[in-house]
Amino acid sequence: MTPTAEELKKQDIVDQLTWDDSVDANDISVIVRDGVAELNGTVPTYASKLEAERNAYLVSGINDVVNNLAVEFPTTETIPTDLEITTNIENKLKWNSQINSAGIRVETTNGIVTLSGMVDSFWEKTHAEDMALYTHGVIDVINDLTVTPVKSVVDIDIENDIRNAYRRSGLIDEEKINVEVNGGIAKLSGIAPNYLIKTRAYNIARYTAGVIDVIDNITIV
Amino acid sequence: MNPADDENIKQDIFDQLTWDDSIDASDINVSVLNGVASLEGTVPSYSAKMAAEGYAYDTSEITDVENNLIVDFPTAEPMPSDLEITTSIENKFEWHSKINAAGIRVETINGNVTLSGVVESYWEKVLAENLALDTYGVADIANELTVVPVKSFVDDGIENDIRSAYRRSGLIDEKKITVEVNGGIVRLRGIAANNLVKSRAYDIAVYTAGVKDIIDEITVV
Repeated sequence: MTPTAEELKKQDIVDQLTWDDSVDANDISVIVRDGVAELNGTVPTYASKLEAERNAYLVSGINDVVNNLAVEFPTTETIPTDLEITTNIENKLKWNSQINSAGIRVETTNGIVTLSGMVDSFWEKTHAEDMALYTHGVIDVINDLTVTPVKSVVDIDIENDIRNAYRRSGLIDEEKINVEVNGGIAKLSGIAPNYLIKTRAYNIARYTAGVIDVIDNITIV
Repeated sequence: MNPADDENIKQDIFDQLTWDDSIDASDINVSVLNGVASLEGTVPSYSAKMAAEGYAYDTSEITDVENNLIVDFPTAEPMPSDLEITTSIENKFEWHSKINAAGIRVETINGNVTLSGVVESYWEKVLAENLALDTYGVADIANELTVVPVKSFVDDGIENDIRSAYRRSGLIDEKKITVEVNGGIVRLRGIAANNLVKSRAYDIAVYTAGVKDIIDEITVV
């Protein structure tokens, strides 16, 4: 019996997860329905959970991913205590040349990290989360950081900065992707041909001065 | 290429560096001559120096970048000693959930970091450098890590893995981008439609098991 299109897509995702040398995919199962991939099973780190999702998005024909993966540490591994996880993340934030971490508070309970307090920019908020999520022992990260820009930027200027950056990239079709900024919150909507373009549009907004949050509603078609 | 073109390209690079909220570009001078961009002046961190270079390379019609930026740390912050920088980087490796740092040696002299020793995969070699580069106090990084895969791999197998990953992505035109693997060293050649495709082709090779090094000769046209 010839495989259906969905069975072929599912096999592509399984092959993708197996191919990526940085992801342990031994216990991941995949379902594909109507261009939506569902990931079930377990992974050994929180980082692998997010990377498995990214890998699925990067398979052509996948428009959305439902990530049900659970983080299960290998029994052979010594898991750091909550206090050790907190201290390690605080140190990583302090030693980072780009982030002003003075206003960031880190708390860990049973491997679940909560970031709270203040940063100067949205890109710093996301950087802090990245540093936390790649730490041994972390099961999840809740990012409650508030963004308070040092200089205030008017919404229309933020919108223009993002649109100009889109134009300079030569990659974002401005007839298809829309930007609206209100109170520093950038809302992206419209359609992108693939996941790389969608994330580029998001990342450009993320690094724009004055942005306090980015809501990405771009769909992949 | 005429001087007016060079002037426009220079303005684009300058606007890009000014736009990115994570880069302090106030002391960067850009000049462009016949498709070669030169960056002069100072930046407050090594990661800003590398980010500026990346943006210059990403600009269409730039074929080469001369990065003469000097890292000049803000005087308001206390400079870590070479030993502190080394320890910070070693700890970042130790606490990272994905990297096996057992074989990595870190040495710092006057803020110049050298990574040496052994890692099991090329993606770990790249990750180690990325983790080191945004550490406060780092002026430069020499990445001398040797990749020694744990299992042995056949060149044909590595080539096929990369080509299959290219196919799955739906983004890499295999008539335009070629892959050759010899002794685990990947050579990528051909043309990509834009820098997103070029970097995706490179990234796919980075995450393929068995790869020891990558020579990326893909040009963007």
